[in-house]
Amino acid sequence: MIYKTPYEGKKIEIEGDVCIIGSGAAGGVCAKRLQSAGLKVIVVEEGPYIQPHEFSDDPLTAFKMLYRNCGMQFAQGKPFFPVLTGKCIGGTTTINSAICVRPPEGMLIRWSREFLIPTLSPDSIYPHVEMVEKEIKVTPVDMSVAGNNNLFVKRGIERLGWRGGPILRNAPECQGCGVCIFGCPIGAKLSTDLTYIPEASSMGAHIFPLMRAEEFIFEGTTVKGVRGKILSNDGEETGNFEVRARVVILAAGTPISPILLLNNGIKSPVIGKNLTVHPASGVLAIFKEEVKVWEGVPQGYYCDEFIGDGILIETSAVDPAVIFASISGFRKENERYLKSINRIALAGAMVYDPPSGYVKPKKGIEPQIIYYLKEETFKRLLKAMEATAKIMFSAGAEMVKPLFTAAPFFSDIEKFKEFLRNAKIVDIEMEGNHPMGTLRMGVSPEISAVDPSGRVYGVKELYVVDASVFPSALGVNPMLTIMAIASRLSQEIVKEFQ
Amino acid sequence: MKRRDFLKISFILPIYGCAKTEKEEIPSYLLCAEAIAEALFPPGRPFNVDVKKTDFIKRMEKTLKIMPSNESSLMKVGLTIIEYMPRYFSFHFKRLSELSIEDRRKYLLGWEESAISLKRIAFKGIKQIICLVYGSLPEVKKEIAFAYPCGSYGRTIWEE
Repeated sequence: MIYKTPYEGKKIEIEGDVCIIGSGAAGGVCAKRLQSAGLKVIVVEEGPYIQPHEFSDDPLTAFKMLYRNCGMQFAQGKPFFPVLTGKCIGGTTTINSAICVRPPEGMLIRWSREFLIPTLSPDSIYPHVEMVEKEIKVTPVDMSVAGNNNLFVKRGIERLGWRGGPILRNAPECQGCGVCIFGCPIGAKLSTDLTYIPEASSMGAHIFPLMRAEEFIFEGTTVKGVRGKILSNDGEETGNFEVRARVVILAAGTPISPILLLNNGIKSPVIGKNLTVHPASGVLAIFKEEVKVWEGVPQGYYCDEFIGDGILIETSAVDPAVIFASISGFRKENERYLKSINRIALAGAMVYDPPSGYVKPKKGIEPQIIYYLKEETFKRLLKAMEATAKIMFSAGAEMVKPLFTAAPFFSDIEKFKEFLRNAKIVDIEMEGNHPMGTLRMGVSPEISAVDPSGRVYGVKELYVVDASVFPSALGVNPMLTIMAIASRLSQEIVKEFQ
Repeated sequence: MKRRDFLKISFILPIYGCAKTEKEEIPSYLLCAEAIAEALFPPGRPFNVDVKKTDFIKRMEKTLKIMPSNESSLMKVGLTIIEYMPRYFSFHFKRLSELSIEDRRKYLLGWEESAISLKRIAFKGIKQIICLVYGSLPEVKKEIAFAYPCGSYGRTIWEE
């Protein structure tokens, strides 16, 4: 059952076999797997339960409804950039672009051999990848609804003879509305709130929205449950809850899961450290033809020509209000750019990054995210921008602008490259929406927070199954891998009950 | 932080303090946001939208209310500082919102392309929020013929 809010009464006490904190990519999959294994599953989720008919196409409304901190969660350091995560039933799967990329075999081999984690080997993970792909109906983008942004980038990639193709997504009935990041209003995106959570619920799992887990219930070093606050739709505390469970599973996401451990006195030199985010930036391009970047599939085409260098190029789309921030300004040419809003295309790349940051408690369970972009990662981003610019020029773009503060549009690639040579890290306009690694998995408590089964070192009956357990950055969009790992680790958790 | 940056910033807090003592119907930070929006998007250049004739200020006020409190406070302080700095630190001797659009554009260019990285970053953050609010205006959406393929749907915070 997915409980309706607001709850009656100021105190709720429940008992089950398993308490899962978080209902996103990891929490949702875990809930279904464990409920179908016959366990009594309780899921507590800090955010609200918002259904497709309640979504809105207004950006600020969607940020308030579905995003942590109203879409204003930032990494501090150099540069300053947003880390967008969801806070609702379905977590970040409700607000992402539905991109499903298989974990690269090379990365799984590295994790199993170099980091000595057999549960993350290709043989261990790929069967779960295939299971998840079937469950969320992963299919390539239908290019007939992809929109001009994707079609023009496709044209550019093909003219260059570079490797690429339609992105695989968990949105088989996508109509190209272009509003994925505001929640899919037609339910075409098969996010966790439309798949694993209701499926777990229909098998008997108890799903509680608007419950913020704060405190573990300990008996010695054994976790016996979770306590926290009941919230209103506006985030006000209205009561308390207590869940007693044999096993507690953390699936609150990379920024939050380590905060819960630290706030509960679970200490380790690695908890909260080793943050990676897949820094992403790109280029805007002005074409002669109409693009209307907000129409069609927001991220529908990819180029993996440079994947060996840790660069994955993908189309991107944003609300015009976001493009205004990049192209408006106080020079004469900014007027020209604004006039071309209907002819602007956007593409970018995410790059592999080494551990470059950490999280620490700020206030309650809110994290302070610190990240310093390393020089090698910055150079990789610049290379990615150059490659994306070449794609745009090859596709017929008149002018291309790199996403740096106050950067102009350039009409030829050489001037574009010249700009990049002098570009400063603080001025890059980037995002880091794939936080990973803050509770990395490994075989030793000196260098990892959880063991190869996902069990937190030094604590009994407490598991972590979200992207925080990744031993390193993945190099590709992580949703499918998160789900597969959660599915695999669920097998380990079931063993506790056998 | 360099010493000269610290010295410059240490002048700014007293300015903010002075600004807070002035009695106003519309808070100075909202006037400043509208002034920046008008400078970024002057009527007819290129959009035929006069920010002053829209409900931009109401929307900006709403946005600052729904933002997390830390970020909202920083925005208000930043906007107030930008509003009053031309009066005390330039030969304009006027608040930003009292300057002509052209003078505002020249002044704000100094913030956007400042040699001080903290100033550039602060202004970038303020500009992004202002652009989000400006882009939400129905007049702007009509001007650029913007609509998502599935049409407009759902209640918005502007209706609350």
